Amino acid sequence: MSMMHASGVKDAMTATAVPPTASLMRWVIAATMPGIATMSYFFGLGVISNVLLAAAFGIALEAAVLWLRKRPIRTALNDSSALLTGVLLGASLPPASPWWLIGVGMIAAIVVAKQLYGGLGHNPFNPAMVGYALLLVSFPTYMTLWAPPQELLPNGLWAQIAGTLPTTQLDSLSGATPLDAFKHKGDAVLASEFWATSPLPDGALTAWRWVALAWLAGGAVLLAKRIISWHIPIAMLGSLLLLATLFYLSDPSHFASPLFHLLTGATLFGAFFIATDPVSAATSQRGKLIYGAGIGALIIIIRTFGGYPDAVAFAVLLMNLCVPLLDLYSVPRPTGQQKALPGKPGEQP
Amino acid sequence: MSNAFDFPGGIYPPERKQRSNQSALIEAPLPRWVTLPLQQHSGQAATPCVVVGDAVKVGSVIAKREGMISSNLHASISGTVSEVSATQICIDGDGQDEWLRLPPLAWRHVEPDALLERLNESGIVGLGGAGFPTHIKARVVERHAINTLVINAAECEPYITADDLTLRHHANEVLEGAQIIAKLCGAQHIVIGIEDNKPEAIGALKQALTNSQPIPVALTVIATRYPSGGERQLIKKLLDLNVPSDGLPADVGVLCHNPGTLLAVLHAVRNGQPLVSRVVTLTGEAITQPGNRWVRLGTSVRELLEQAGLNTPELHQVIQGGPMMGTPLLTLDTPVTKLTNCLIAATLEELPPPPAESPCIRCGECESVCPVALLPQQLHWYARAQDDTKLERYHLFNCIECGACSYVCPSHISLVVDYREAKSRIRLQRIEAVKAEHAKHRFEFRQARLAREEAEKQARKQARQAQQRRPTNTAAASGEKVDLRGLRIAHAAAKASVKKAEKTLARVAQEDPKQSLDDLEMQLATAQENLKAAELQLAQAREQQSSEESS
Repeated sequence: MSMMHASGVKDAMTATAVPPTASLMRWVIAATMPGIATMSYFFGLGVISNVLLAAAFGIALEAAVLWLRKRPIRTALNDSSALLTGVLLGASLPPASPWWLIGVGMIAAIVVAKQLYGGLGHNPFNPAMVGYALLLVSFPTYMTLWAPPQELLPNGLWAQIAGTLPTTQLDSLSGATPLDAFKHKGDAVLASEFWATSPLPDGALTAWRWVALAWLAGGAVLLAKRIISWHIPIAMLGSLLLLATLFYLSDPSHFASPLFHLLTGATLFGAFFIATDPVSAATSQRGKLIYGAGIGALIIIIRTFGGYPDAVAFAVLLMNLCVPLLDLYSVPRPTGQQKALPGKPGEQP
Repeated sequence: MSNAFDFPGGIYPPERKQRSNQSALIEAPLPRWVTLPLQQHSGQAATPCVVVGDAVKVGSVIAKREGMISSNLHASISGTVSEVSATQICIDGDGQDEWLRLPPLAWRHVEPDALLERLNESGIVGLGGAGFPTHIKARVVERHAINTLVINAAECEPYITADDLTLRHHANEVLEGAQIIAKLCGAQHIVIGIEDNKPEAIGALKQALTNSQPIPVALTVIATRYPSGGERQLIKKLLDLNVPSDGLPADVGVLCHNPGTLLAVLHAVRNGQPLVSRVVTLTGEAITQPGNRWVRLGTSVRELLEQAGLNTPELHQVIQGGPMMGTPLLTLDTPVTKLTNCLIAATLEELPPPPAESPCIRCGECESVCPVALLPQQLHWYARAQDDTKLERYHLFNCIECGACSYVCPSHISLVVDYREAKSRIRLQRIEAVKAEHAKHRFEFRQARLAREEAEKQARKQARQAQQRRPTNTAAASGEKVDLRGLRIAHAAAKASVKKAEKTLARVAQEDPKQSLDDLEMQLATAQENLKAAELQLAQAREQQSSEESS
């Protein structure tokens, strides 16, 4: 019966404990700020309006479902988990996405992926990624067109409210992300030829790299504050780089470089903010390493051979599927115990 | 050296030991009356051997050990027995403090049996908190070779400083007590494990170690980390040995003792003084004179805390033991027992109740601090779902209930409480299962007895018929062919099962003398009845066959 609790003591010799669940969520939200700020610097205020809109949807939907489920609304909203889901989904959508797109995504995330499974702590899939994947599959046009950097869009914001696509974006493929552009270069075009044609708008690649580094900075804060453990991000980035390097070395003229994979798309965002969602991740330390490595490998495989330019959402969801199995077979051996695997009906304790 | 070996996990809670380790170890005032519960140790309660009105001295035996695992109880003050009940004995003091001591033993020269008997008589139990009778622990050498005696002076829980102060004041005597136990168990090494937050005690030990030690003593200072004082954790840390989860330290040749116990051993042997007092840490923000006291067993907690300047309006709760593994006292009118190592009179700000529980988010923080490398959050899910099969597969019973997981849980889930509930539920089911098994065995015994009686009846009948020599009747009987071969096989099988039952009984009795053998005795009796019946049937069949052949 422990009468002492990490959150109740202020004189601990070494701060080793993680903060309570609610402030844990708020720390993650705070750590997304550098990434969101950098994104809106390069891609316009549409990023921030996305995040605000998605967060508002998140809170409203969570409250509505809790009310239907006759659960205490205030205590559940206080843990800020719905807010976090909103921020994460909002940050992954193209800037100034139509309001209904965000709404549909958030319904999939909060109502279907989270509350229908029993609310916080019970969802087998990452809610934000369920929402994102649904939108990507259902509305590919809206989801793959990114405004060129440095176009602050007053009319884009209007389009968001009106629920249509900003007209400027429909003009050309100029809004494609670097991953998308590289994916569709065609087999006949060598990588060097592709880059020589300057396929992206001015500064697009730089913009994406700065955004990736901003996510990395936020992730570093989370690691330093012990909000997330190192196992998943390191395993994920390690396997991603390893596989990307193998491909790149086998044929540099067709496969993208490891650095390209690391610094474009949602790789770093996914590594620190998506894959580390504890609820839908594996739980044991060995399981987390396998889980992270699996995500990294799947990202490279889908990006290289699959039909989608970026793959963080699918990779995370696929590994979410594997979590029960990972949990079953990655149980650590208790000290003094000869056998560890609970998956095998072994000797009785 | 100190970090050469390690156990997984662990936490760094605030130590809060300064509050009680600043003043010297002193005697608490002699209580005017004491209440001595009959159960102050693990195992069976002791049986009173005094009646109301008896005059007792300090050290008079007032209750005798009952059964295998039990311990004697002695009067802790001189005076008159005022109450004897099924659970406790009360003594009114006369203020004289007259002692009744046993003759001193020169431990270097007496036989081990005499030492064991002295420990038994003196009612010494482990003073670290578990209260296992020391003489039983010493008798472990009958089954296991002991190589190392570990003195567990880690005292890793916050607040508690009883071992710290005991060592500062009595380092020499603790080491002498260790020599007694080491000699008794045939240990060749003594290792002291102590956390580095007790520099004075370490200094006292170093000083004491300059005296000659017949059995070599090593002093190992380890980094402060909870729960390094857990028996298994300390053995791992000091000796890099893994105690099997279903076994005891003795299985790896180690015996663990607390410094307070070793001091009590020395007092019992050298001074003939039974266990009537112990060192108790009095601490917490709600008392003004914290510190460590020699307290007579049975002293009221209320009286003790009031003497230490209890500030009742400020008091939120009194915890017996440490803040991690101790229990809150429901009332202060409860006595100090052999198990009371610490009393924390805590204010509300000092140890606030945890905030309301929120859902588990599977963050895995509990796993990273578990010193046994369990998966606390998985156990949590299965405990809430009452999935007992899964709980056992995830090694619930390896949990040492240290509370590290509850301490760090960001959702404030009372994990250890869940585990304790699940454990007691599963234990209860096991007892029920054993009971059902016993009932089955009783039924089988009855069937076997009836079969044997029937066979006897048949045999008698046949004998009678043979005497009357009525061959006409055998004709009817010989109509059915006698299955002599089948009966012979049945007889051999019955014989084998008797042998097997005898073997099992002998093995279990040898391995685990404390286990009740009734059920195995019953199974043996059943097998014997079956054998008798088979013998009779076989004899009968042979008789019949021979009579047929002759006719």
